[in-house]
Amino acid sequence: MARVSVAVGLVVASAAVILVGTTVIGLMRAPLLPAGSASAGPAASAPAVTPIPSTAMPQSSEAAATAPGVDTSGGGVSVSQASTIDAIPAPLAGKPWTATAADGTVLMGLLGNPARVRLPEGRNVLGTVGSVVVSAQVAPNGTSSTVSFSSLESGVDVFKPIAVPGQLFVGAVAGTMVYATGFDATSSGDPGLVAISATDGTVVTVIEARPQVEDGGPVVARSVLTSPSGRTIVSALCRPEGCAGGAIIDTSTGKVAGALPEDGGASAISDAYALLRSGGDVTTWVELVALKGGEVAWREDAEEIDGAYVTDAGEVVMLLSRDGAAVVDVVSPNGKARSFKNVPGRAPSLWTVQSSDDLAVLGLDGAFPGNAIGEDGLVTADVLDLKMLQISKGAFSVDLDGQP
Amino acid sequence: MIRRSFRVRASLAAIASLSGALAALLIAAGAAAAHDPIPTHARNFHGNNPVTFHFVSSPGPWYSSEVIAVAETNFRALNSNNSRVPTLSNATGGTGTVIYSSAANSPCNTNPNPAWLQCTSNINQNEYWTIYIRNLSSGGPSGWDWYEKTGSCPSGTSSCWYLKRAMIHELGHAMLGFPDMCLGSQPCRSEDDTVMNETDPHVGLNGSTPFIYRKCDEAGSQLQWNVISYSNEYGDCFDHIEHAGATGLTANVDVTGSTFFQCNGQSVPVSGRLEVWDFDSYGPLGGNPLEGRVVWFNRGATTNYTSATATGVSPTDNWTKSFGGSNVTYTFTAHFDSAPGDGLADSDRPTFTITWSNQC
Repeated sequence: MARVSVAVGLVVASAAVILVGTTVIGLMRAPLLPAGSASAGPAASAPAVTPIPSTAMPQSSEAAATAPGVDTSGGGVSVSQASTIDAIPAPLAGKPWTATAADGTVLMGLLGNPARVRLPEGRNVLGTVGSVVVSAQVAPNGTSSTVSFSSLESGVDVFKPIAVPGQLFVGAVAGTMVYATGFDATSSGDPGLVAISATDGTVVTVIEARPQVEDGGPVVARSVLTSPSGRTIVSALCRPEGCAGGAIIDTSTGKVAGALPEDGGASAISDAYALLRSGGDVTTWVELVALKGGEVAWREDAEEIDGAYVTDAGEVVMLLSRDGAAVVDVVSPNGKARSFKNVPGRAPSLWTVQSSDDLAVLGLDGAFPGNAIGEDGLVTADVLDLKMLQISKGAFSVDLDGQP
Repeated sequence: MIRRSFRVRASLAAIASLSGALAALLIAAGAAAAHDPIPTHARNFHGNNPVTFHFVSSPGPWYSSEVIAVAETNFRALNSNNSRVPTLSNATGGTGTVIYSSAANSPCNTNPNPAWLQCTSNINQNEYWTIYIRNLSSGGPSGWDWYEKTGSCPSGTSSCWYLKRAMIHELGHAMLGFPDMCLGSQPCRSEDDTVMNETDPHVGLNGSTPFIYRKCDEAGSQLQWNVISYSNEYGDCFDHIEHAGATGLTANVDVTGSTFFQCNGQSVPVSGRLEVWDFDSYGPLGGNPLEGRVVWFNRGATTNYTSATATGVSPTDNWTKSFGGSNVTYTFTAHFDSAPGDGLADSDRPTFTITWSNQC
């Protein structure tokens, strides 16, 4: 593989294009609530709820595979190492990414880390805690999932896979716990939410599965979101057309501490706020609501929002179309907005999973890696400094498979 | 010899008054069914015609052939989307992208939704849209199926959807700028009126087939893009827009002249124009010639004495009819009568007289 990308950060910008955006101070959403502050709760820890039985799966051969590209025994997991990697801006280092290869296998890595894991087709990454990749594969009969704990570096199972009831395929990391949920195909009910320890494989129930939700149609799944601090989780019931409301979970206790309004779906959360959005493909409005009390801090009608997240301080970073152009808005809880309007080239997408409180990562076409995969397996991203509102074009690249 | 006087045309105010009265009657009668065109957001395809699209991660012919069929054939079929929106064509490197995705959460919008089936992103980027179709065989909910994969629903119809229905809906977002209906401020619509309701009907439900745009989709597309064929249909969903007639877009009949004199036994060619009324609320449809539609002429008390068929020319007269007589004066009334489902409403009824005598 002929790599042409070079280490480019926000400061070391030898090949990057720095563009200064337009800062607009004072764009106001309708402020309905004074700016709040996130309460500093205790750090995330294992929920104090009753463990549910989980079944240790038969351990496969534990032959370590340390050489790049060598299959391990961990259920078809293989690993590789990128020969070179770009320097990643410090706030983004360690942010996870996943991509589906043409053969259906799932590639996973961390920004700034050369290690890559290739998971078998059908395996979903629930989260990464340190160098442990927690993934799940739904059993053929759809009643349970096999959860595996693979080393990012070697691909081997760090401990035995476990069987967990239900179809798990999405997760959110809070501390050492991975909160996981998915779908209940057998009863068309609420699949519930479990917390899985990435350190010992313990599984505890956070939200009980219910065989049939009261207002349910035939299709119900659950979403799961985590705050930047990991102290708060939100999990909502979803149907194909969207999610609504959601349970607010304090990860220090593992208990449901409240509920979001039902008239929108949560896009992102902090410990103090949730960004709610209308359902469907086309966003018609967004609003920031306080997790405690549910007061609306601000609301905006917008035709299309292509990605949004909430920082630990409750600022909303969102990419939207305004007057035919892509704009990144940074909106404080009191509704004051700063806008970056000079997004160059084709309107990008905001890669929220890879972004941080300080830096927004912009790519093309939906979530990472979008359509940004070059023939050489490189994904290139732009980075917007949210304080300076300066963009760095081609700020870094990710070599997906680490293969030449 | 023919002497023409002036062009007869009912006043806009009169028509507006009439349509207003009809609307009031409809409201009074409780005709509450929302029968408006699906709203659109403008697109600018930069002169591209057709818009091209390419695949990413196609799982095989069962998928790609169906996507292509919907995009290239159904999307702008004359009997379901007679609009001037660009056609679609599958091509390597095309600007549009159709991705078969195994993403666990919806890759399109900002809500992490693990129950997603299909979605469209980059909706405001004209021809650079991206449609995602969920790979239901890998990593997603067990038991969900696309019908076309096997030609059946292995786990039952309630967790089984038509890929072609998904595509026609998503192309409504990507190409036509339609929002999801039955969501937020958008009212729910009958499945007979639109494919754009937010919930994709599973196999067996009303609305899961056929895989074409419905009448309010077509009307919305036409209101944005105009028609591609003057002689083909208008979406039968215009009866609640401003200045609509009872059954749709009000037609207008013009007659070039109102009083004619001719020698006995000689024919009198009368011409005029049959078109869609040119109200602002009709957008690009206003003034369209109603090609292929019939102008009827009552003669005195004789209804539908004779007729002429309109052509598609613009902006000039598009119908001509010759009349004969001797030692007589006839009063003719020209009119267009809408037919059920044609998206049009009856026209005004201008009159003209022809006198045949030996004083010529």
